[in-house]
Amino acid sequence: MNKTPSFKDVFLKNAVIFNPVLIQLAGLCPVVAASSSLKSAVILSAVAFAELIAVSVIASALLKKLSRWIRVPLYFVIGLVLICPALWYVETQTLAVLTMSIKIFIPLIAINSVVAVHCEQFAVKNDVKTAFLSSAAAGMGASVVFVATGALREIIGSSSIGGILLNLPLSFKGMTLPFGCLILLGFMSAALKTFIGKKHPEYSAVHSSVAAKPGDELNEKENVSEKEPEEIPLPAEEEIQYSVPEEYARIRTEEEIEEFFKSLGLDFDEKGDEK
Amino acid sequence: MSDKQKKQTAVKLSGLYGDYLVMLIAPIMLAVYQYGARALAVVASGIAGAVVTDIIFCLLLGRPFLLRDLSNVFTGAAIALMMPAGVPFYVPVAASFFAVGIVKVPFGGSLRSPFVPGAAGFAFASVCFKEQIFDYSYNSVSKLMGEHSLGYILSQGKSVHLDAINVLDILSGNVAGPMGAGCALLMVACCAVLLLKRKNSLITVAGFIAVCAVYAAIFPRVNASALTSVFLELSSGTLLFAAVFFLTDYASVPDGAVARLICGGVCGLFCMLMRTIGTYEETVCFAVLLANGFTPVINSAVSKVKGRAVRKEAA
Amino acid sequence: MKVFTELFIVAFYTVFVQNLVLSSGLGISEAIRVSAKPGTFGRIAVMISGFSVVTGTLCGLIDMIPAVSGVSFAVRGLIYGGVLAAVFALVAVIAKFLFGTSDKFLSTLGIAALNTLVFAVPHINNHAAYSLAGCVGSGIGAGAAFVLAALLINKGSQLLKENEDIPEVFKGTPAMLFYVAMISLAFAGFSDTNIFG
Repeated sequence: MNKTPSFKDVFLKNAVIFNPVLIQLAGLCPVVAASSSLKSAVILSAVAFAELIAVSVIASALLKKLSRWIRVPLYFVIGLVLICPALWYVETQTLAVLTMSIKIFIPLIAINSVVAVHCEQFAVKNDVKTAFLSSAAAGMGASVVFVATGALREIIGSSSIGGILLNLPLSFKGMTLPFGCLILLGFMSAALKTFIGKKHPEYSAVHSSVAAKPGDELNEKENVSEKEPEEIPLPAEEEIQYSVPEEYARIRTEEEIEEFFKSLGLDFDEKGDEK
Repeated sequence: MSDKQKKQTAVKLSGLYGDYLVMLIAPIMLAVYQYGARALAVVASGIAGAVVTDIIFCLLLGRPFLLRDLSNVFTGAAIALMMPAGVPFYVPVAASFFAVGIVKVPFGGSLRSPFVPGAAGFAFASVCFKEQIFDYSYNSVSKLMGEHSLGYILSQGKSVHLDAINVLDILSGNVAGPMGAGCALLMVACCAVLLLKRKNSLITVAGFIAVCAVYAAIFPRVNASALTSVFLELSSGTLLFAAVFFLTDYASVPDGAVARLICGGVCGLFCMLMRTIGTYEETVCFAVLLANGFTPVINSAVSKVKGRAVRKEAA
Repeated sequence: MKVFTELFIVAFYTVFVQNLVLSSGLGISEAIRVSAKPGTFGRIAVMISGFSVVTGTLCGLIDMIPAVSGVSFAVRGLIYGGVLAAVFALVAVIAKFLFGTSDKFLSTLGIAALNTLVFAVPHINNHAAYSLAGCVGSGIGAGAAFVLAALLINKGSQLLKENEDIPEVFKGTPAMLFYVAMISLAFAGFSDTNIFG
């Protein structure tokens, strides 16, 4: 029987444990390339948040029965149809001043991998209500990272926040570049991993791999509890190139290996270079 | 890892970086001779930055701080020696913090980091403090060409007429530039020490210098003979210093002679390309990082080719 | 000859000087994800090059129409997106119904076509005012930049997996992000400016 998960569970799983940016490594482009200030990060996160919810709901309601290869382009088209008119309205009908970089990157949000990843992993497998809640949670998780990264990059990289100069004694221009953002994300990911490790240790093993996704924890449990000892395939005859004399076949430890080489008159360092 | 292995690692660390530190004594002395006590203070700030960062990260991660791990001292000193003597003290401190806190510790220490921490620290400082890093005006009145470094002259496409006197000035580091990395003669002496201690690691340096020289001869940045171009390019900036101290790094050096030669060549090519079309006067540290990134690719390709050759022979 | 020179220079610029993936962060999520599947990224890179070249060139031709040259960024985004979607739809339909390719292949095609890198190429071409040869070079360079990034990340991730000394807190995603950051820093030696200013 399918039990509808509570909002707390959905939020925890989508925003924190499988945070789209810090854990699943989705949506890095808008963060790395365009969120070098608080203002740009807020704008991009708002667009990404709204788009994720809208596309997830549509995907859950209408696209479940389509093949994956048709669904994914549709996410893009739907996103584009939603975002571009909104940007057009802001550009032409309001007095909002947007930088050229933001104007270019807002349409690029339509193709953001957070949307495709979330819709494929969650929205098309759940009902509309759950898809809405999960996408709101994932969107929040991503938005917090966008805004925090944007703010930190602006403070550390430009010594300002929201365009207001802070007059800090030092600023590190590198933080406004992609590598600086990746380093910040690395530390944020490590901090989140530590938090999850303490509060939800059942997910620790999953988070040791790169870009963990929901469902990995089940595989991990299966690996621990139910995995049969693997049968070691015997090498094909033509693949056997060397035979080891019986007296050396017992060699197992590093010391024994070292002794073996010394007995042959050879001395190697750790890199395998002859000394 | 067992305690025994940890001890072995610590002993090797002290021995390995102890040798490097011995090699660094001469450049430090030369820097002090040329720029006075300030040079020593800059080196000390670099070392302090590296050591304190390691202590902080050890405390945060609950790991023991190994006093015998001389890699911090080496990294801090090497970074400082590549900077001008007049650089503000926070620059080597920040560069050392980056080297240790972001390149050494997260990858499991100096013997495990796929990137050379010192090169990364200097590259980071070049990006963040471009004006301070390439300002060689401190105490440069008596220098050949005043406050202009060879790297700057080359980047402007200006030619230098070489004669017996200024060749000696350039070789002995009497040119405005990085305070401890400008003396080509000292770097040759360091190579001689490496030849005795770790001769295999010099293959990377050989590949690097060969490609840099060939590139400089084919695509000179100055309106002079190919030989002059090669001489000026090889003697300028931190090229030789980084080659000797960073390209021979224990953790990131490729496996086997062929891979090392290729890796050195790749590094040389990127270094010269960056000098020609890049943003910075000093590019060798960026090139070293890029070569570090290519190292696993080169290792894998070389071992595949070797494997194929062995299979062919066996067939 | 001039055309080829321009094509080569733009491709070289896109791969090294402003590596679209590592220096600019475009398509970096896909590069990291694809790098986990070493058997596929060569194929994906060829597809990315193909889609970038075709979309970039078509968009370049559209940009030459006087009525289009002055449109707002929103309309431009819609046009470029429409072209990309149409190109993908056409290729997917041909692949599916003419060559009978599997759904799995079409999904890979989707990853290659519909990512930030490919969608950004027409914007870059427009921003840099490339000629048609430049558009082709930019498209080829985008694919090459992607394969270079995926290759470096793939080998790096293997190195990180084997490294048992990485502190527990940095294992997995954090170490991978630091690794990519270092390669990105290395590319800053060519150019330290953000794409689109």
